[in-house]
Amino acid sequence: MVKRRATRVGEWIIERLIQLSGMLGIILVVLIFLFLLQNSLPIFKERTLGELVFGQRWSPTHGDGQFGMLPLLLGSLYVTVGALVIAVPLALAASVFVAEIAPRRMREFLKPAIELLAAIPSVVFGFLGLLVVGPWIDAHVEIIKVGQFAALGSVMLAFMALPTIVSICEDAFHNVPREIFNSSLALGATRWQTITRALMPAARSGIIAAILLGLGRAIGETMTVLMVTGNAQVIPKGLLGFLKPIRTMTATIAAEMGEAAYGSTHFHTLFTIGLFLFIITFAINTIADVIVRRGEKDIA
Amino acid sequence: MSAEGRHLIDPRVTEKFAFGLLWLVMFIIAIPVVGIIGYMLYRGAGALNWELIVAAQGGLYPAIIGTTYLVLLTTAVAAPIGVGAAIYLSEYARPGPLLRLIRLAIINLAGVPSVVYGLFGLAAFVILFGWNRCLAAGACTLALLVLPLVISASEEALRQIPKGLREGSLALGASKWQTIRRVVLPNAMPGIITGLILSIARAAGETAPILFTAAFYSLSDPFPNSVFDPVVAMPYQLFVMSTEMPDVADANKWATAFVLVALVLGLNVIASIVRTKLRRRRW
Amino acid sequence: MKTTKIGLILLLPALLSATVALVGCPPAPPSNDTGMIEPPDDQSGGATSTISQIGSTTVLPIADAWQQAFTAAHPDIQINVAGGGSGTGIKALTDGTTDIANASRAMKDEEIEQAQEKGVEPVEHVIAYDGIAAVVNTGVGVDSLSVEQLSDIFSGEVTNWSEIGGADVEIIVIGRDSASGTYESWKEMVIQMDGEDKERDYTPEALKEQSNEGVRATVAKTEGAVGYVGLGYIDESVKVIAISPLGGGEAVVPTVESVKTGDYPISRELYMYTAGEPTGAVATYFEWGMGDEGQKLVEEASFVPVK
Repeated sequence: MVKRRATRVGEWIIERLIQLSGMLGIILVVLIFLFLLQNSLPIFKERTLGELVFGQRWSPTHGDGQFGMLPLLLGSLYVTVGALVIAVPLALAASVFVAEIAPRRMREFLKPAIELLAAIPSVVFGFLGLLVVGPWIDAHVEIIKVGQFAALGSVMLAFMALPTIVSICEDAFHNVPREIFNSSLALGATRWQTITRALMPAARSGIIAAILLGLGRAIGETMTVLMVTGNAQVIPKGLLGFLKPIRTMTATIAAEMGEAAYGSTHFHTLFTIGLFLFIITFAINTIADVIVRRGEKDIA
Repeated sequence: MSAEGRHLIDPRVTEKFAFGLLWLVMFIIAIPVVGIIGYMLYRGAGALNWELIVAAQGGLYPAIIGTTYLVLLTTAVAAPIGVGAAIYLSEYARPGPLLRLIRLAIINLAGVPSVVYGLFGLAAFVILFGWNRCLAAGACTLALLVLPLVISASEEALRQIPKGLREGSLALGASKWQTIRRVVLPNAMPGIITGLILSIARAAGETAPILFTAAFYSLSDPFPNSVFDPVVAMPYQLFVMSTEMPDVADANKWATAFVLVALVLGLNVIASIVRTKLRRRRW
Repeated sequence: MKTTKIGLILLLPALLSATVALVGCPPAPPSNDTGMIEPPDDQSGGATSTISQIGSTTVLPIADAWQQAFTAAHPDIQINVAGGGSGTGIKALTDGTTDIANASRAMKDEEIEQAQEKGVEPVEHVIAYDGIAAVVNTGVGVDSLSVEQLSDIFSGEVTNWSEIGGADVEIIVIGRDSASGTYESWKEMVIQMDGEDKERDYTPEALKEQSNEGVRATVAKTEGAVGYVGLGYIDESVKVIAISPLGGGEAVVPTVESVKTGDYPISRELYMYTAGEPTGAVATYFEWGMGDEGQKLVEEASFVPVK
């Protein structure tokens, strides 16, 4: 009897622990937000939100420090949008190819190959961009002045976001009931017509979610952009801005946190950038999740 | 597209053209990827030699050891919590707003930029807990980063166990926890281990989270004596060598990149072998 | 059988993490007692005292050379050297987790206040000077510049080499990370012309490299590029600019010699900080480092000795 009770108490404890770790996801998200917020707040005693977000000059050690984040926000925007413009068409084509066109054997090879591409660490992409791709472009393309520029970051990020987008799109294609595909073929449509007019619309929500998740990954990517984009805190102008050095939010945190004085205004501002990043990615991921869920309901 | 336009070109011709284009796109993607990775393997394998690996100063050995410590400790922290959370999600949680919220939180955790994890680790472990830049702080930070990966892999593994197996065990008078521990978990183990290997691979390659929490560059005393010492890690080493340190021979950089990629890809291949083995089992 | 194994797999990590959590609760103890020389251990005869230093990567080559030579001469003292940035080093000194903080910039007022709040009185040691040279890509057609001209270039007033007598090539400015010590020294001494124009700042167009080496490599590769590096990073891949001082005078090529004599105007101090005046092993270390042998190593690493 005693032993039995001990077992029961033990089980009760274990089950509570399991419950606690189940809740941990929520707790962690809240904790991350609170820590970022707490470390950002001191800056708002000195600057207004508008001064930070719309300030045009980021020069933390000039005078009392200039903390205008507009160049960094636009820098992130440029690099990310550039990455998506490259990655989305390629990824859509690749996912259609893998899901519907590739011969069986090739598909069995391609799927793990794409997963492996996703596994390559971002610092390695940065290393390759810095040592190989950048200098190569600098030497062969007349208009490029320096081998470190926004579009190079976009290209590297595109290849990093590609696997994420491809695998989610491919899942979305898989979730489309085969009857849709087969009945379209039975009606005399070609496979291509079926893919573009039946399969892709049916998988629409999955595709949008995949793009959003790729977007989230690209905005948050740090090491690659730090190493290849040149980190000039300019406000990019027009399309030519893609061919010039640029600085992103993530690269700023990574480059400056080691040297910044702990507890200084600069230190807190770097946390504020982190807070903005957190809020942006949180919004993107939540929207993606809502879209996926709505899509699942549609199909069901 | 107008009705006439649709019939101007035979749909079968369009299809041929479109499929041809898709093949072309695949080559456009594959050529730079294969080319660059091939080039890296070629340069890296060429640069790699035994002396470079074992050299105490500036060699790869300290970084390999450091990364090993880091990922082992990371797994030690992430595994129990992650598997626990997965058990909760698959065995205990009831559908409803709470479950929905938990899932949303996990999805968002997976999407938090790695450098933001680094900031959190800095604020929480390094400063608030006062651990300073060290192995433990880095491992805890990385553990948070891989947690969503561990949870989703483990949950998937748990869900693949048929209901009948659980019911059989319960019918024999086993308690819920006994059923989970003796029946469900052992059968889900291969899937859980796959997830853990993948998360090790992820942790081994991350730089941004350990940038302010654990990593340092050292030539003289690279080995941590306790979990509260800073640690030399491979990805950080590669970053410092290619951007900060003077006079690092290109060969060293390529060799480091090569070993890092080989390690990460090797772990992924192992994970997928474990997973394939698992798939062969039929219920 | 199988269940116990699984129990172990789950239990071990749990125990490990619990240990980490428990041990981790109190702040980590300092890595050693500053400067205390413990009685030598007869059995091993090995190191009996450890000095830890962490901080700026700029100071790393000096610290590393000192460590190697010093420990060879004093086998009873072990030195651990680590990079990580000036801010990181100063924070570690404030927290008492390192004996020496290496810094390529002077401690800021707020950092000194923080240290004092924690009962640490930081003591500054200037251990070397770092001459900073302007380097250009070999194709710009300019050999010497005045500080005023450099100020115009780096603040973006002048954007083409032909405006200052060079080839018709657009100027590309390569700078350092805004948090680095070199960045600030160059700004004060060149761009603001020793404080003459406090409003002037780098042009935002300037690229930011993480290191001297990054600046050198990018200047070497990029047409029309200009940057600045520590003396130790100069090589034949870039052209070194002779600089004439503020208010006119003969242009001087930066060398260890010309910085030492003061003829070359642009150099900055490199620091090591200790908590209070150094005692014991740390004092021995500084005495040695500031002496002939240590300062010779400074010069060998292409920095400028203090004496």
